[in-house]
This record gives sequence, C-alpha cells and structure tokens, in this order.
Amino acid sequence: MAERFDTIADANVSWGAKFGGGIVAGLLAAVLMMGFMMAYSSVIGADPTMPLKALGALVYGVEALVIGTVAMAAGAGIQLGFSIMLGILFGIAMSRRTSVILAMLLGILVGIATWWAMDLYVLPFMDPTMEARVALMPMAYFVAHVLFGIGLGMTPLFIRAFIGRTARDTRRIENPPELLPI
Amino acid sequence: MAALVGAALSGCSTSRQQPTAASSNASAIASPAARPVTAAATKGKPEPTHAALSSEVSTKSGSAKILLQIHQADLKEIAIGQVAERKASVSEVQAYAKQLVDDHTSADQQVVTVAKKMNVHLHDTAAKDGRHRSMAEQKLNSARGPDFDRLFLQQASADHDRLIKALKQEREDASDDDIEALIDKILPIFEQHKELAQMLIKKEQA
Repeated sequence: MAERFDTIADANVSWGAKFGGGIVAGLLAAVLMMGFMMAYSSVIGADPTMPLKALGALVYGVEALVIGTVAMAAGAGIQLGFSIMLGILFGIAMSRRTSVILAMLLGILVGIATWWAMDLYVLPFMDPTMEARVALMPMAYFVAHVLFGIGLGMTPLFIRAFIGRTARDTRRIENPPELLPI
Repeated sequence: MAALVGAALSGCSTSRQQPTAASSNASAIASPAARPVTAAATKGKPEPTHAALSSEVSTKSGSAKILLQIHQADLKEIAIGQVAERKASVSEVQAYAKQLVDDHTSADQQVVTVAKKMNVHLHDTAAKDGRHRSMAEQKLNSARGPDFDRLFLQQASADHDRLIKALKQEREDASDDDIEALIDKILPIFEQHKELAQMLIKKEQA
C-alpha cells in the first residue's frame, strides 16, 4: 500500500514543481544564512559585507577584502549558486507527501554536513581568507548553517505551492477514502 | 553528533605547560594584584619550591607582555588606519585602512577580554600608546596623495611583520591556553593584513 501512496503522490509532483520548489527553498536558505551572518557581523562591529567578501575570496583570494563590489558579487553568486543547487537536489529527493518536520530535520542534517565539509576540507585548502574570518565567529557560522538547513527544509511547502493544490488535497492523498474506517 | 559538533566548535586548544622567560619590563606590566593571587593560591598546599613560584610569575609576566604588545599594536593600527581612511587617494587603500580599523578593533576587544580574565592591566601603558600614535600619525600627516598611500602601506607592512614574528615566537613558547587561543585567532588576520599591504604596495609601484 505504501508503494501505491508513493506512486499516487509522485504522480502528482511534476519535475517542474520539484525544480521550482527546490530553487525557491535554496534561495530562501541562502538569504537566511547570509542574512544572519551579515547581521551578526554588523552586531559585533565588523563590516556587514564581510561574509560576502570572505566568500568572494574563493575567487579573488585575500584581495577580495579590498576590491569591494566585485568580490561581494562573486560571494553572493557562489552562495546563491550552491544553495540553489542543493535546493534542487533536495526538491528531487522530496515527495509531495514528505512532512515538513522530516524535511526540516533532513535539511538541518544537510546544513550541518555542509558546515562540517566547509570547516574541514573546503576552507583550509581553498579559502584561507574566509577560514580566518570564520575562526572569529565559529558559533555564528554553525548557526548560519542550521538556518540554511531550515530553509532547505521548507522545500515540500514550496513544492506543494507549485503544484497548486491545497493542504486538504494532500491530506486526501495521505488518507485515501477506502482506508478510512466506516 | 552532539559530541562531534561540540568538539569541532571548541576548536583545538592544546597547551604545553612551559614557563617562559620574562623580561624585567614585562614583570612591571603584570597586574600587582596578580602576584598576591598566585601566592594566595598556594596557601594550605605543600610549600612550593622557589623555582615553581618564579615559573608561575614569569608565565604571568610573559602573558602580560604579549597582551600588551598586541594591545599597543592594535591601538597604533587603529590610529593610522583612521588617518588613512580619510587621506588615502586610492579606493583600495581606503578599503584596506577600513579593514585594519575593523579588524584591530575586534582584536583589541578580545585582547582586553583575555587581559581582564588574567588580571592584567593594559591601561597602565596609555601614555606609551599615545607616544606611538603621535609618532606614526606625524609621519603620515605630513604626506599627501600617492606618497601618503605608499608610506601608510609600508608602515602597515612593517608593523605587521614585527607583530607576526612576535606572535609566532610567543605561540611557540606560550604557556597559557587563553593566550594560545587568542594568538590562533588573530594571527591569520594579521598575516592577511601584511599580505594585503605588500600586494597593494606592488600595485602602487606598477
């Protein structure tokens, strides 16, 4: 029966909806993460654009700290590109029936895995400029990745919105009439 | 997972408990209150040897010395950075100056926090700081345009070179976890400052 539910659910989720939902969730995740880091930088008295510049250092190296807009644009592009890519993958993995809570938990796991990979493998070898900056705010960097995961976890909601069905329709699929006790 | 996250967040802070040699200058800098604390801590315990006591005192003095050195460097860089923010003729040099001010302000906050924790008074040296500031500022105030940029970048590069060498030496000899953690945090930032200054000097020359 479970197989039948999956079939029914997936039959109603087009690739377009999965991609669309994933892209929107990825954008939301990027905005949540970068917004938090920029706000935190501002609160501790640092340059609010530092997170974008530090990410731009992946392309421009330490020079990103002084070249301004170009480095910030590169940082924003990297953040958005990576987030959208993960959002699409997340969207493909989600079915319309996936509960938001489960998706959030999965999203947070993906966020923590991303944080772990960045901290151990990406930053030390590819972006020491950002690594030095992150060392000044390790907890905020971790929280930002959790927020990123929460953003990804919203994917099922966006998929449902793209499908254009109401929550009542979703409940009907999850509880087909023939299964309800008479 | 929680243990993994906790371990990763806390970072590495291994310590080697080695006493450092302290200069007479440094022992004068250490808080007067610090020494009674050290002595009081030994009450009710087996009488420490003279060597152990002097080791504790010299460790404290060594920490005070490096904290003071970083504090003075921070104040100096903030001062010349603020001048350069106003006077630099190139936007990249202005951005560099702003970066110096931001980073050294942040670094100094951390230094002050560690100093408070270790009961080291940094304000005793305000007069010295003022003298350093005025000397550096006087040199820079007399320059204009590209000359100012070059002088500022050379000054920043030389200052950071000295500071980085001192911090690396102290990191090797460090006997205090807080000092080690502080150096681990700020040293890469100061190395970036030096690298940027040298890169901008090359750009100016080109």
